[in-house]
Amino acid sequence: MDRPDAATLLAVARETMVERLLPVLPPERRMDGLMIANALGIALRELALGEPPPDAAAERQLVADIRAGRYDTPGPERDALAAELRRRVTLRVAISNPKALDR
Amino acid sequence: MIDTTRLAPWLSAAAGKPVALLNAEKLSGGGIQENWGLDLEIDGAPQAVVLRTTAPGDVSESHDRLGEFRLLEAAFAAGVTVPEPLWYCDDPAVAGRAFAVMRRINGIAAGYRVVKDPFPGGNPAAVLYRLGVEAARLHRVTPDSPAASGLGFLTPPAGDAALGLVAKLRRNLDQRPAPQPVLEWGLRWLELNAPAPVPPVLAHRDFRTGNYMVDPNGLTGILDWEFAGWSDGHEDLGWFCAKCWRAGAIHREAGGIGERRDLYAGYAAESGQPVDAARVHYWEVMAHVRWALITLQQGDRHLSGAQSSLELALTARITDELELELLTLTGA
Repeated sequence: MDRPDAATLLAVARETMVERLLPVLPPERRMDGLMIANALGIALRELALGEPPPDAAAERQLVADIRAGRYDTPGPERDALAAELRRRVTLRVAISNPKALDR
Repeated sequence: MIDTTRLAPWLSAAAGKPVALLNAEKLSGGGIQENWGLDLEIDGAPQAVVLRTTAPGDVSESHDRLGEFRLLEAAFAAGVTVPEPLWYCDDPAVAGRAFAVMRRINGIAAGYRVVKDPFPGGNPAAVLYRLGVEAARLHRVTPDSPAASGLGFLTPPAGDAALGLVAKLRRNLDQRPAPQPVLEWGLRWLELNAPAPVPPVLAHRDFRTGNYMVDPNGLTGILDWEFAGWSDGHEDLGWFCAKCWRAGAIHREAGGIGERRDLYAGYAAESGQPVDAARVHYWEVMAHVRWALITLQQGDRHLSGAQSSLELALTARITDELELELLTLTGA
């Protein structure tokens, strides 16, 4: 790396907040500090793990099909959708709150 | 700020006795409300009250202060442990905004404090039993009850609370541009698995840890009636036991403080009917979809520029965990 990139800046900014600012923030500002550290952590993980959004038209068709009952019947099509939804959401939780995956 | 100069005379007129205002302090908590603790002397007798008004800029869907006051009256009349509602003032000339006054109760409500070990409310099983009793008392109020006479402002009950809420949540979902396949999956499950409808009762609809107060002797009151409405009473039990409302103490299924069986036992004892565990599960699924939609809408307030807020932006990211739990609950 030639110069610190976005991920590097986010990581060191988060570290600075946690180690230098949080310990000395007045109590009424502590929540802000924790939220900033949290937001920086999410941004970092999103840069590292995030995937592009699904195709918009396909997604609109998918929700219309779910609502119309196309995936109601147990079977391979339903299982494949469930697996894909689980895959996507697990990835999103790994980004927004990885601790929630341990529960 | 509230203007207190006209307050004492107004309170005296409302109480029908001389009222002195000794002290006013702003209380923390309560999201969109402004809560003030007032120390009064009513005819010489000390009385601690809370004055509740709406913070400027509130655009939420929750009931206004008068609606909340009427709900407190109905709950109080039904024997539910709530801060006793005293007076309502709709004249902004008195204190700057319309306000409600109720007796002040003591205790702690904040979720992260209530779920600590040791439990700050004495015996958690006993408090859960008591919460079950309270919910059953509330659910005795029906649209035809005398206690409901002030509740005409509530949305009329749907013939089927579950399917009615599914339809409402779908309408809300359709107002947002991005499709939400996981929430759609959940809503389809809710549509297909709806329990047989039951006669509507008054439900709290935000019955959870964080919205009741305890002190070392136990429950001191149930708070925050902004979302109450006609529904299936099991909605309250499902919301209470939903994983998202355990303040992180996920192993204690009832509100992060203890076991479901204690909540259910109190409810069954007071209502005379056993709790339907499958119905509670249904409303737990509903809780996750309903709360997920709200977390998305919180994010929308930041994204639209309506209210720039790190807290709102972060709240929308909670949606991901809610969707994960939703998939697990629906067997995906």
